[in-house]
Amino acid sequence: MRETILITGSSGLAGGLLLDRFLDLNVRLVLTKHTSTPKSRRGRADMEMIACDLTERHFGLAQSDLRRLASEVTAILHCAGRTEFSATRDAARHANVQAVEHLLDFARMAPRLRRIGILSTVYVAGMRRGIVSPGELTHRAGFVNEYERSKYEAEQLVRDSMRRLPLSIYRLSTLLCSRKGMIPRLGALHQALRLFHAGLVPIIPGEASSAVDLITTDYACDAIDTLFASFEPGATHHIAAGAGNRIALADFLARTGALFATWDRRWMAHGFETPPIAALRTFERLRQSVELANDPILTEVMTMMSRFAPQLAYPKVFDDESTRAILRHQGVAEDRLDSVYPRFIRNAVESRWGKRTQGST
Amino acid sequence: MAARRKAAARGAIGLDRIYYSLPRQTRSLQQLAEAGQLISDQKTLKKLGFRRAYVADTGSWVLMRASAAALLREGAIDPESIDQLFVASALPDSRARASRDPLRLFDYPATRLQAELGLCNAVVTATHQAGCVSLFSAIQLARTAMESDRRVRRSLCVGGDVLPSKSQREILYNLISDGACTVLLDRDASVNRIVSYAQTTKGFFWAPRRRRYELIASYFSTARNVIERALDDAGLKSSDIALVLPHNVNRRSWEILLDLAGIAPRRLYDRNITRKGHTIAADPFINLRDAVEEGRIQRGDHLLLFSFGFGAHWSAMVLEH
Repeated sequence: MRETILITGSSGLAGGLLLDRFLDLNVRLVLTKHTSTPKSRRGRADMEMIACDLTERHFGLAQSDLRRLASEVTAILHCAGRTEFSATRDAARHANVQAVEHLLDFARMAPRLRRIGILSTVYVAGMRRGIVSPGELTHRAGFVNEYERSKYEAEQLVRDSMRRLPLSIYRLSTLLCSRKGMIPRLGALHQALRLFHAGLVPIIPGEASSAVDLITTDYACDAIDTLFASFEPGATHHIAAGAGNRIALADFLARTGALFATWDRRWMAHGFETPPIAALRTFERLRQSVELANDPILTEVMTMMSRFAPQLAYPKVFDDESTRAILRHQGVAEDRLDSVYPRFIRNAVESRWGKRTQGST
Repeated sequence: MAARRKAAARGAIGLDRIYYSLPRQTRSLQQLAEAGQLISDQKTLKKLGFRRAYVADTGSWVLMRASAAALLREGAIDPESIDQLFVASALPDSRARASRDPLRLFDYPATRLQAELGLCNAVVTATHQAGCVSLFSAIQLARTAMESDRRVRRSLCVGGDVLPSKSQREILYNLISDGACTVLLDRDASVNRIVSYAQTTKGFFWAPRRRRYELIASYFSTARNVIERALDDAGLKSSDIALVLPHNVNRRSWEILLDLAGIAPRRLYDRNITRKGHTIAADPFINLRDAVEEGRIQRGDHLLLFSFGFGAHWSAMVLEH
C-alpha cells in the first residue's frame, strides 16, 4: 500500500523545495494549505490540498475530515511555521508552538503513522556559546529573537512526545542560496548583505572569530530527504555547514567586501568599506543613538540587524558529525561555501538582489 | 621609541603654539530652539552632550585675525619670521559674491590677513572645501612644504568659520559654534611634534544631504581605519595614546568610535563638547590648548587628534607633546 505523506508548509521556502523532491515519488501527498495562502500551481493529479489552520485545535477541520486524514496518513513532514525574526512572542508562539501542539495531538490519532519529521533550527541554542550538540536542548542562555524562542518551545513539546510518537527533529542552519548561488527568497541574512552592499551597515555586533554557519538549500533538502527516508525515531540532527565549511566572521566580512568590489565596480568607487565588528554593547549604543536622533533609515537598518545579528556575539559551533556520518554513508555531501559564496554574491549583485532575473553563475 | 625615531627622521616640525578666538556671545539650546535654529529637540541634543553654541555677530575673518594676532602677541613672535601663511575655511565667503563688481570677488581675506598682521615674508595659500578637516589640511600642507624646503622655518595656519546668522545651528545631530584658531608650526618645535598624519577622502559623499545615510554608515569604519593608519605610521598601538583630542561631535558617537579603535573612553578630552560645541574645523586644536592649560598632558605623551569633514574627509594626527 502506498504511503500517504502529509506535508505542512509547502508554500514556504523549505517546504516548497522539499515538496519538489516528493513529487517524483510513488507516494500519495497531502498538503496543508492555510486558507489565506494562494493555491499552488505545482502538483499532480493524486495530490490533495487541505485548507486548514494548523494553529487551530484539530486544524480547524470538521471531525469527519480530521478522522479520515488521521486514518490515512503514514508520515508527516512538518515544515510550516513563522520564520520572521520580527515576530512578536505571541505571534511566534501561535504559529510555531501551537501548530506543533496540534500536530502532535493529530499524530496521536493516526494509527498508521510511522514517521514524523519536524523542521527546526540550530538557533534553538539561542545565546548559548561553545559547542552545541544535537542531543542538547535545555538551556537558560536566552534568545536573540522570538522565532528562536518559539522553536525551542516547540522542540520541548516534540521531545516530550518522543517516547510515544515516531519523531525526528531536523535543525537547519541558515539557508544562504541554492548550490548554483541563486537566492531562493530574501531572508534576514540576504537583507543584511544587501544593506552591506548599499553601504548602509555601520557596524556588526560580534566577535571576529565567531563562526558563520551557512548551508545551501540543496544540501538542506538532500539532507532532510535522506534522513526522512532512513528515518530514525527519537533522533535530532544538525544540518549545518560542518567543520571545514564554517568561516570566521572577520574573514566572512572581508571576503564579502572583496567580492562586492569584484562584481560591482561602483562599490569601491563609492568608498564603501567592510563594517567593523563591535562589541554587542557598542552596537546597542549605536542603535539607541540612531533611535534617539530619529533617523528613520538607519533606525530601520539597526532594528532589522538587532533581530538576528547579535547571534554573532555568542560564538558557537553546531556539532553535526553524527548527522554528517549518516549522510556521507548515503552519498550526501555538503556544498563547499568557498565555491558557492562567490557565485551567490555575483548573482546577488548582478540580479540586484533578486529584482532582475537571476542567472546561473 | 619607534615613534620618536620617525619624528626625528622627519625633523621636529610641531605645533609650537595655538590660540583660538570664540565670539563673546553664546546661545543656549533653549534660545536656539526658540529661534527655530535647531532640528532635533533640546532633550536629544542634551543627551548627546551639547548645551550651548558660540554665535558670532561678525564674519569669520574678524575671529581669524583676532586669533592670529593674539598668538603672535602671546608668543612674542616676530611677524617677519613667518615664512608661510595658510588660511583655511570650511564655508565659502559669500559677502563678495553679493557685489556686482567682479573685482570684489578677488578681495581675499587670506592676503588681507598677511598684510594686516605684518607677515611680509609669508607666502600665502588658502584652503577650502575640506569641511571640518580644513585646518588639518592646512597644517599638513604646511608641514609638507616645510619638509621639502628646509628654508621654511615657520608656518602660520589660521582656520575659522562663522555660520550665516539665521542658519540652523545643528548639523547631523551636532551643535555648531562659530570660532577661529591659529596654529604656529615651527621646524624646531619644543612641543607637539607631528609624528604622523593620515587622511582619507571619499568623493562619493560630496553632497552630504543626498548621501547622508551612507555617510553616517561609513563614518565609523572609515574613522577607525584612518586612526589605525595614523597609529601604524607612528609605530604606536592604541594603548600608547595618552589623550584623544576630538572634533566635538556628539559624545555618543565618540563612545562608539573609541570602542572600535580600542581606546579607553577616559582618554577622550570631551569637556568642550558641552562647553563649546563643535567649532567646525578648530576643535582638536582648541581642545589641545585647553588640555595643556588644565594639566591633562605630560611631556612625552602621545596625542591623537581626529576630525571628520564634509566632502568627505577623515583625518587623524599623532603628536608627541
